Amino acid sequence: MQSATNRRLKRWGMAGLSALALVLGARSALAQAEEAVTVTVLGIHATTEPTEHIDPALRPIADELRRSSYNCFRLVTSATRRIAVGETSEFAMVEGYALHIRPEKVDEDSLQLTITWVQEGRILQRMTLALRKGKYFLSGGWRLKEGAILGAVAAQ
Amino acid sequence: MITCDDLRPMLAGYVDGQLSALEAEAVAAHLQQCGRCRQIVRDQQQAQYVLDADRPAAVPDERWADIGKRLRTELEGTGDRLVLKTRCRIETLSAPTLPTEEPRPPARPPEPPSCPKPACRQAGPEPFRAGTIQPSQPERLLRRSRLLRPRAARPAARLRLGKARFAWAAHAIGALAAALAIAIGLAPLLLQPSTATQAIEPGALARADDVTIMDIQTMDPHYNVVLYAGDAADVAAVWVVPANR
Repeated sequence: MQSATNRRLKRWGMAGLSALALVLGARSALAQAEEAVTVTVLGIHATTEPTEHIDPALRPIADELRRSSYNCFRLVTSATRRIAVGETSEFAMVEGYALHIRPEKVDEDSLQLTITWVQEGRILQRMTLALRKGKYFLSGGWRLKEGAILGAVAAQ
Repeated sequence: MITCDDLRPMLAGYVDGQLSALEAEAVAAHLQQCGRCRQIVRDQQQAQYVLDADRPAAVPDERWADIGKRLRTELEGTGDRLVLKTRCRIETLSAPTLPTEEPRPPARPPEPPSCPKPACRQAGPEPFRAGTIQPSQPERLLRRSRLLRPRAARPAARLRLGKARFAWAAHAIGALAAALAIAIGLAPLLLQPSTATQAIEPGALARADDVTIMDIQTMDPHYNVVLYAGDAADVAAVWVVPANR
């Protein structure tokens, strides 16, 4: 009788511990997910051509793009990823260019990012900035065979 | 469907004839189909038979006076030591034959109903024969006699029947509780907004008050940096232009 009670206690104890471990694991995963940010990077190929052309996906920011010395803007890459704070993710562009994004800190309405332009492993430029969530930050202008590559980075 | 576990507590009562007619009928019906329970009943009947056969004979009334006198002399410290013949221990039953003198052996125990299937009949135990107990029989009987439940314990045995049923309900409730706990733990993960990895619409460029540039390092000497902020559109951007332009 005693051993049966012990067996039952052990069985329930194991089940309880398993459930607790699952719940704690889920909570831990949730906490980790909360510390990650969603980053969207747009790669824009800017050229100068006889007639203006702006990719339909870029129409909302066409006015700002026109301020540059180019008149044609094509979206060459568009990628969105969740990146944990403190981790670096690479967004490949064209002709060996890439953007490395590393979320440093998440505040209530802004994020601190380190944005690094690289070309075939060589660092061209590194910026650390605080950016309001959901806003696109434009950078780039690196020469391509034709035109230049721009990058727009947003995070939330 | 009555199971062996349901009937097991009632088998002792069946052997002793303590069950009601309805219960006895149910047990008999089960025994016709279940060789294991039939074996238990046979064992209990054999144990009962052996114990009954070894019961000492009744003391004649005229001997009680003599016993009293001898007890008195023993208590006073004189006379021969009184040896009372009590019910012998079961170990002494290792004798190959049962006592055949004074205590008349009870009638052969009734055989439980036999299984109609020929295979069951073959698999069943050897028929019981009085007086031919094997030398190892006492140990076996002693071991199996644990199945004989005290009569006072039978209501408790019936209660256990109810507890067994309750155990399933307890298991089911426990499993539900565990599933609920897991679901509560996983719910925030599962209910994460599905837009988590959706692209941010390119509708809002950062203005001057949306960006704070903390540090810029341009490693390529062929480019000049143009900080583009605070003009009419108030758009913040960092451009590079070739140095030889």
